This record gives sequence, C-alpha cells and structure tokens, in this order.
Amino acid sequence: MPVTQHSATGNSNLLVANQLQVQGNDGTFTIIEGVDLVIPKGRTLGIVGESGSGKTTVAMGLLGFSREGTRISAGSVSLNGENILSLSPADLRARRGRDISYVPQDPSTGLHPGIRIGVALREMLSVHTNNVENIDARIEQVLRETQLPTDAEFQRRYPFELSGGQQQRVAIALALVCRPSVIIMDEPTTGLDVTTQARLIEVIRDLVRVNGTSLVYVSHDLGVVRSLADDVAVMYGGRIVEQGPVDEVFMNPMHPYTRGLLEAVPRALTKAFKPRAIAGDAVEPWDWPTGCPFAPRCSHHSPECDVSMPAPVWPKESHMLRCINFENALKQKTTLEPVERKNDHLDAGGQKENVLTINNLHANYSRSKLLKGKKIVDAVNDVSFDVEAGSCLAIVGESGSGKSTTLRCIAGLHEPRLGVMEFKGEVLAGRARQRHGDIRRLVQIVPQNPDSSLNPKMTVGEIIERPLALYSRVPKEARHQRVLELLELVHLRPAMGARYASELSGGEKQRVAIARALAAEPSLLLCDEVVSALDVAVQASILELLEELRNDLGMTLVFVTHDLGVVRSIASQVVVMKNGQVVETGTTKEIFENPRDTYTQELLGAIPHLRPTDYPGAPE
Amino acid sequence: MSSTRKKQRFRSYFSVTGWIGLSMTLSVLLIALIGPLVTPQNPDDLLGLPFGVSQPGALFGFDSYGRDSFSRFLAGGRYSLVVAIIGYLVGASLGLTLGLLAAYSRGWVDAALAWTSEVLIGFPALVLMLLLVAGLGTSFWVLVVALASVNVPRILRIVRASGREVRDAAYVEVAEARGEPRRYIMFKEIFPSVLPAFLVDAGVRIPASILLVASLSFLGLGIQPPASDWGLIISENRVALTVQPLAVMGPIVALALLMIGVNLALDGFKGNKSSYRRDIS
Repeated sequence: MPVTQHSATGNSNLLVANQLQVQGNDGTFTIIEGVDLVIPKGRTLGIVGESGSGKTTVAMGLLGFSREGTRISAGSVSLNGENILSLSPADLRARRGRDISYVPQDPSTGLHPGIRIGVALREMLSVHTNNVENIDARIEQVLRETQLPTDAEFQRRYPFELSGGQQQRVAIALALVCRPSVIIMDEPTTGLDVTTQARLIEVIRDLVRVNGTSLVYVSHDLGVVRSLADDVAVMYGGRIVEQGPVDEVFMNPMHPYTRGLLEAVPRALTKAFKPRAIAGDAVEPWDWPTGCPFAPRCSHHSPECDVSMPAPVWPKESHMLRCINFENALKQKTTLEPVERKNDHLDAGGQKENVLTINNLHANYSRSKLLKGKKIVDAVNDVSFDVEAGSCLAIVGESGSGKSTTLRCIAGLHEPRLGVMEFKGEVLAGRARQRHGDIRRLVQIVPQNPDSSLNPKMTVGEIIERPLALYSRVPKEARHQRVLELLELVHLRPAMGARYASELSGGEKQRVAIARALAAEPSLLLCDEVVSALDVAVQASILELLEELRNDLGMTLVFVTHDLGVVRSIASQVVVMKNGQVVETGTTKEIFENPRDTYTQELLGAIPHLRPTDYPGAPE
Repeated sequence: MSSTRKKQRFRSYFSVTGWIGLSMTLSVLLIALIGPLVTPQNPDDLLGLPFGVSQPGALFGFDSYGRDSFSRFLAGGRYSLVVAIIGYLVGASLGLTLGLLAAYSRGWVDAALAWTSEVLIGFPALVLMLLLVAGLGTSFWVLVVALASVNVPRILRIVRASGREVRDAAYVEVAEARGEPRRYIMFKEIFPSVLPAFLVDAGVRIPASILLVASLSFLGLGIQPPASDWGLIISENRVALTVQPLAVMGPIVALALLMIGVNLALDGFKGNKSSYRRDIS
C-alpha cells in the first residue's frame, strides 16, 4: 500500500518500506506492524514517538537489521528499487555503510574506544571502495563537512579524547564518508548540550542540503524534528498513527495521540500555559490491545476502536492517519490553561518572604595531580539570588554553567568555598551532615537521572519508608500506611510499593524519587533536571504533579533545567547562568518577553522549538 | 495453601543446586562437629598393624602407626574447620567494613587502606601464615589471626572495587543530602550492591581458608601430633596411598565435598525478599 493516496513509487523514491513487521523470535509479541514509509531523494523524514513506540526498531528495520531475539517477520524494504531484505548477508553488508548508513544514539558506545578516528574513517572507505588514491582527500572533506578539525593530529585521536558533540560528529562523518544515499540517525542529539545540539542540527541540515542525501531522523524531541524534517511519521504502539508533511502534521494534527503529544510539549515561544499530560501509560509490545493501541488512553474512544487496528485514511492528499473518530476529535476545541503567576503581577513593593537567600556563593572542584599541584576549577563564581516562599525558581544554563553545582551546594552535597546560604534565616552549613535535623528534613533533593536515583536493591516501599524512619515523623506502626498515602499523592498504585526500580518506567521512577523527598515533609524541594530524561507526555505529567504539590502543600521549588519550555511553564522566577556566573535574573515574564542579556537571547534562539503557529497555538 | 506458600518462601532463598550445595556443606560440618563424640575406637590407641587394611571394627583400616583410620577421620575435622570458619568470618567482617569504608570515604582513608592491603597481598598467603605461626606459636587464636590477616586485604580489595561503582550513584547522594549516618549509607545503600561480588568471593575464599589450615597442618605447623587432623592425616598417610588408600580417603572426600558444597551454596544464594514484596505475592 502506498503512503500517499496516489502511488509514490517513482524513481525519486530512494527508500521504501512496505508493511514492515518485526516480531519476537517465538512470534509471541509484535514490536512494529504495518509500517509503510517512503523517503524521496533529498528529503528528511522524522520519526517521532515515546520510548517503546517502536521508532528505533523501524530505524533498524530500514537497514535490514533487527535486534537480538527479534526478527523482521514480514514486509519489504527497498533501496533504489532493490529489496534489501532478500539480499544475502554478504550483499547486505556491502550495502550498509555504502548506500545506507546508520548513526547510533549514543556516540560514546557507537565508536570503538580503541580505534583512532582517522583509522576508523579509512577503514570504512577501504571496505567499500576500491579507489585508493582519494582516501585522504575524502576524509579531509568529510571532516570539514562535519565541522571537525582536519589535521593529522586530530585524526590520531581516540574517541575518549573528544567532547560529546565532537564524538557525535565523528559518528556522522563515519556514516557520511562513503557518500551513502540514505542516512538513518537514531536520536543523535539526545544527551548533548542545548547549544551543542543546536550547532549539530545546523551541521546535519547543511549536509543534507549540500549532498542531497536522504535522511531518516528518529527522535522523541518534537522541537528537533520540527526544525529539521520535511515529513514526519508519528508512531504509537508499534504502528504509524499519523504521517504527512511536517507543517501539515504540526499545524493541523488530526490523530488524538498527535494532538495529545503536542499539547504536552511545554513551549518557550508562546505565553506560558500548562502542558497537558496524556492520561494512562504507554503500551508495551506484549500487551497490545486488539484494536487501536491508543484506544485505552483516548478521550474519543468508541467501541469500534477495540475491534481492530483502524485502516489508514487520507483526509488530505499525503496526510495519512489511522483513526476512526478523528472527525469527532477535530470538533472538540482544545483550550489551554494559561499559567498566571502571582509574581507576574507582584512588583517590588509587594510582600515578599524569602525562604532561601544565596549570597556571593563560590564553589570549585579541585583537581589535585601528584606532580602538577592543585588545579582549582571554578564551577560557581559569585552567585547570589533569593527564593520567595511558595514560588518556583528555575536555574537555566548549559552544562558547565554551574547550575547543578549551585543546587548541590544548597542540598549540602558540595561544600562552597565562599559565600553564605541562608534558609529561613538560618545559615546553612556546607555539608548536609553538619546541618541540624530539622533543616536536613526541610530541604530535600530530587536527583537528575531517574535510573540511578533509586537503589536497585530496595523495593519502592522501603525506599519511601526510609525518610519516615530517619526523621521519626511517623510512628513505626503507621509507616506502612504513610507509604501508601505517599504513593497515592504522586499518583502511583499501592502495588508499586513491592516493585524494584528495574521494574518501573522512567516516569514512575521519577515519581518514586519525588515521593521519597515528600516523605520528609520538606518545605524546599530541589529538582535537578527531573524531567530531562523523560518523554514529553510523561514530562508533562511530572510537571503537573510538581505544580499540584507546590499549590497544595505550599512547597517552594528550585528547579534546575536546560529546557526553556519547561521553565516557562513551571517557573515564576528565572536565574540564567553561564560559566559559573549569573547573567540575568528576573520573573519568567521578563526573561521570556524581554530578555536583556545577549546570552539569554542566544539561549532562547538556539533551542529548536515548536513554532507559535503549531497546534494547539498560544493560550488566550 | 499457607504451607505451600511457606514452602515457596523457604525455597526462594536458594536455587536447587544451592540447596544441594548447602546440604553437602552441612553434612560435612555435621561430621566434623559431632565426629569426635562418636568415635568407635580411641583415635590415639595403637590397635593394628601400620597401614593394615579394612577389617570388621576398623572400617577404613589402620594408619601409619596402626591407629584406627575411621576414628581418626571422625575426630580430625572439628578443630581445623572451626579455625578456618572463624578465621574467615573475622577476616570477612573486617574486610567488608574496611572495604566499604574505603569505597565510601575516598581521599586519604581510601588511599591508606588500599595501599596497606596491596602490601599485605604482596605476601603469598601461606608465607604470611607461616611467618605468624613461626613467630607466635600454633595456638588456636594465632591460627585464627593468621588466617584473618590473609583474608582481610583480599576481601577489602574486592568490596572496595565493587563499592566504588555505586559510590557516586544518585541514591547515595540523596542519602547524604538527607543527612544519613555513615554506617547507614555503607551498609544499607552500598552493601546490597556489593553483596553478589562478596558472595562469589566467599565461595572461593571459604574453601581456600579450609585448605590453608589443612596445608598448615600438612606442613606440620598447624595442629600438632598426636592430635588428629584431616590435613595431618593426609600428610602422615600419603606414602601408603597405593597400599592403604582408605587411610586418606575420608579427609580427602570430606574436604572435596565441603569445597564444592560451599561453592554451590553461595552461587545458588538468592537472598531475602523485602516485606513489601511478600505482602503482594
């Protein structure tokens, strides 16, 4: 079945996937099904979806590859009119890297740690071409194209001698060096710094334009796809649920899932509004419903949805979706709730009570080397700000800006070199252990990475129970009951208490980490990039939860993040940091509508955002 | 219903091979512990010809002096096994605590502990033990201390290495920010992740400890004759292995069973389940 209503199998289509299906080896579960994709020459296709939606499986399937334990069980992938799934392993290997290449998600594991960059590039060329003379010239050219140094010294480096952004550019250079006609990139900018990401996207866009390469770009970041792709396919539960030109899909989404996703993205460029979470959890391949996979979470759900997977429909030429009730969904007008912060109206004359005051904070990491002596690296340099009671203050900046170190100082994990931190009028000691019991209890931190924030050897119940025991706020007999209450407070089922961290999704882990902090009944909650590792829909639900807790429990939040959209939707005050220093402070409104510092303006410009005209638009 | 649930809970601590290993270990330990109380003959009496073969009343025949081999086998396990086990336990508790301390503290505490243990590991185990025994005599506590001093640095190193892997995990930092005491972080947050490595090491180290004590008595520096001891029995009777193999078979088989058993048991150990886990299942 063609992807557009009018058949699209001309010569201009480089890569065509037809009814691609990937199953587990024993056939008991299906990971992707009925995937039709057409990538014309020189165009970029973005594949978006939450984790577990099957987007990486599709990307690998396009290379004729399936992960251990799975196999491509049906469908075809044709590259330049040749079905690569029917090729012999040797022939397929010859195509990969030469005609179609792959850039993996994590450059630190995608590059061989023991092979110098120049050698890796040379090997790639020598495997695929016989033209030996031009190898050096080609390598130099490809390094220049990816904006890397071309000198021999650089080519002699090992991957660990490069920064994350450079590593990813080397990975792209490797994919590019044989001039393939199609490149498949799997989240190549995830895990990179905001501005590094912006530069890399620039590089990718230029490469595609100059070389006329077709690109398949897999990402969960809607902003990146918006700024890079020509066409977009939205995946959910292993199927493409909506597909079309990027402007069309982002401005007039028709599938309830796509609309939900777009409503969940916090925007930096429009007036602050509350991102809306999609109810329920994403489906896993082993418990797909018989009908539409999104039906259990869909607000336009009807009995027919559960019968079978809806067939593709084309409301407009080249705009495909798989939904029975999309016309109903379109009728319902979405209104976003604007965020009105009391601080927006509050002038300097209004009543303020500061919970936390930071004065001239300096912090550094000392690197002592045996013979070279001590080297002091200033991570935080003369930082001062106040946090009002019941407000949410966001600290934004790139990595290395000192924003996390500042937070760690407040939490008592990093001893400042100089400066005074006052919490409710009391001076905070540098180390948490030196602070007295009540202060320790009142300041709690939710760490960045949900994967390492929970002890893998403890159950969720034990984890949440510990602060109750430590601060003895709750008598022993009542603790079990209190744990259940806390689980309910963060919207987790009581049965979760029995799980281990490895049995939870990213969003659930983050909720448990929040519940653990809440168990101490803190008045100041420090959040270190708590949503950056999460999918959009999950991210929105965590933001919702934090907002709810702040309003209901009267907590004060200090929120460290690099995501300006998140800042705009949750923070009332913003501190912008760069190289350890505060470059600008102000209310959220001031910072976003009237940034004074050039760095703030740069930061606002650098990030690939959704456009203000994109669905659902700005709130009234 | 409740009995099957109980059974399942009971079973869940070890895998099947773990249970086999555990029963092998326990039966050898049982022989060693109650053996001296049930010897059919006085193990020190000369009752037959040197290396006399098996006969009624002397199941395993006679040893080099004509003493009853079976009685000597029963009497000879207790002392060295008790030395080995206490020596291991003392070494393990010290090595574990210091290893966790090194992993958690970092800085000069870690450096001092790591360097000291490297130096101690530099001595071959048997040489270190011989040194101590030669200087301080062969009493029970000297043997225990000698064995512990072999085990401490080796266990410390393993615990430190796997402890360092989780030292910087966010959950350890959160515990620090909560103001948790050091011992809680060491034993409740870090130790569970160290446990698998610690158990694998124990599976090698307990048998090695038993073997070390046996080797020491084999060399004549452990338990002194005429007292009966498995290592000593092997040493005294190995010359007649072809004529009267039964004189050495008891200790050899028992030691082999013990080592395999301990290994299987520790490999098959699955650990306890949390109370939250039990409530649900």
